Amino acid sequence: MGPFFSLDRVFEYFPLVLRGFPVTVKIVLVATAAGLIFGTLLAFIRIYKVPVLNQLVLLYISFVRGTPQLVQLFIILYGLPLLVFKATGLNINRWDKLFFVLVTYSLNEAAFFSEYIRAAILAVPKGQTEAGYSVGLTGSQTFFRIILPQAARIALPGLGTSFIYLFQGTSLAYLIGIFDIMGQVNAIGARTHHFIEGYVSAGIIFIIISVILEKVLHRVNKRLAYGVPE
Amino acid sequence: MMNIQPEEIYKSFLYALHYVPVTLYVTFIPLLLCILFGGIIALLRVYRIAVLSPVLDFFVSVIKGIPTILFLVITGLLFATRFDALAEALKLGIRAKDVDAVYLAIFVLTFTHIPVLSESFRGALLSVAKGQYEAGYSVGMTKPQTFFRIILPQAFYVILPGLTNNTIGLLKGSSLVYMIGVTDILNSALKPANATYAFLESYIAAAIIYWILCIGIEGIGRGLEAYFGKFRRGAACEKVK
Repeated sequence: MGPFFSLDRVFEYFPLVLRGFPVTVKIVLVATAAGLIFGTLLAFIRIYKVPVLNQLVLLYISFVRGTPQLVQLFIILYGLPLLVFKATGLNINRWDKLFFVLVTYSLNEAAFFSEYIRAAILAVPKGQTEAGYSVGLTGSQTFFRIILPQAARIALPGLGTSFIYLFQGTSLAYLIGIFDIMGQVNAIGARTHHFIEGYVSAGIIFIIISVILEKVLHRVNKRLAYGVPE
Repeated sequence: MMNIQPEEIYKSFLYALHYVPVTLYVTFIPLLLCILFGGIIALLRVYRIAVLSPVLDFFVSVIKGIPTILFLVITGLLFATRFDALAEALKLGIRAKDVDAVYLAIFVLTFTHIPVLSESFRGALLSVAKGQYEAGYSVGMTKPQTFFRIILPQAFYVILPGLTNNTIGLLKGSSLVYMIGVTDILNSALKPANATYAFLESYIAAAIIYWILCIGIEGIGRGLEAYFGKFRRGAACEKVK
């Protein structure tokens, strides 16, 4: 493939592209953590059918699941400063773009997680809750000591798959100027006009991440399902 | 700090509506192709055909790991630069600029989503109790007969929710095709904004359209589940919400 594609350049660009990896990881970890916390909150609202909030949450989840991440990203990018300005008079237009990316992906993950978490909590037999109350544990004690560990086992496969897809989802962030893996590829390409080697490097990195995470998730699922008859 | 202008939302909305067919095209044709190929791959992997299964396992893992947008830009780049050379080598009359980008988009979206669908199908096929296969063989049915008459009807019902999800995934994935030059909902919603800079309103309009489409797909999915689940005991007794 002549000077269009050169294996040497792949090796040369690989470490440069890798420089974007920490940013990707940061986005994924923050989005997952925030998603778990907020998602559990949403799940509870749905489980207890809190009057007004339940409808709002349903609307929110439907919106997040029904619109492309790219569109959500731009709506947050352009819309959040407006909202914050209306509410507090603070102008956040100049804030680091990464902030908006983190917000978008956190909100996104929270919506998806909340469904998995809700299903998992509901799957824990009611007898467990009753048993907890019957020995005198308070509501939150019952939840954190008895329900949560059992629900976590049930939720993990779905949450794990979401986590893996999140890595790929963050690849959109470069379109607003974030220097994650794809962002570095773009920067290299803009500088050297050689895009293809950068893309190949990025592809290799993503494949490695995905395969490793899948194997880990597989192992974890097997361990968690210990004793459960097939 | 401007306010949100509802007229702009409306304008973008109307503009983008024209291109809904393009998006549907780019969503449902890949869907059908993915069902076809994904189904075949799932079958090959579930029945553990000698050489093909490990190879397919590997390919599915690899392709699953590549983000759609990366695939799109690579394909777009390769196509723009290399297609002419290939076409000349194969003595085809067409050149890169004659090919509508939509076909390229369909190709890429199909390719990226085949693994996802095949995993879904595989999960559904595996969820059918092994006893069903054995029962089929024990009354003398061949493998294909057992599959089509006993396994598939049961697996089909399990596939439906996943299929709805995958369709929605395809619809959302289709929003990226502007990167290879296809005008779809997202692209067209932004056209008015180039003059008025009302980007937020354009994105909101696009979001609303996608949202409506997704609600429609979910509705169809639930309808199908209710229809095919009629003969399921337990599930048929509950009201499908």
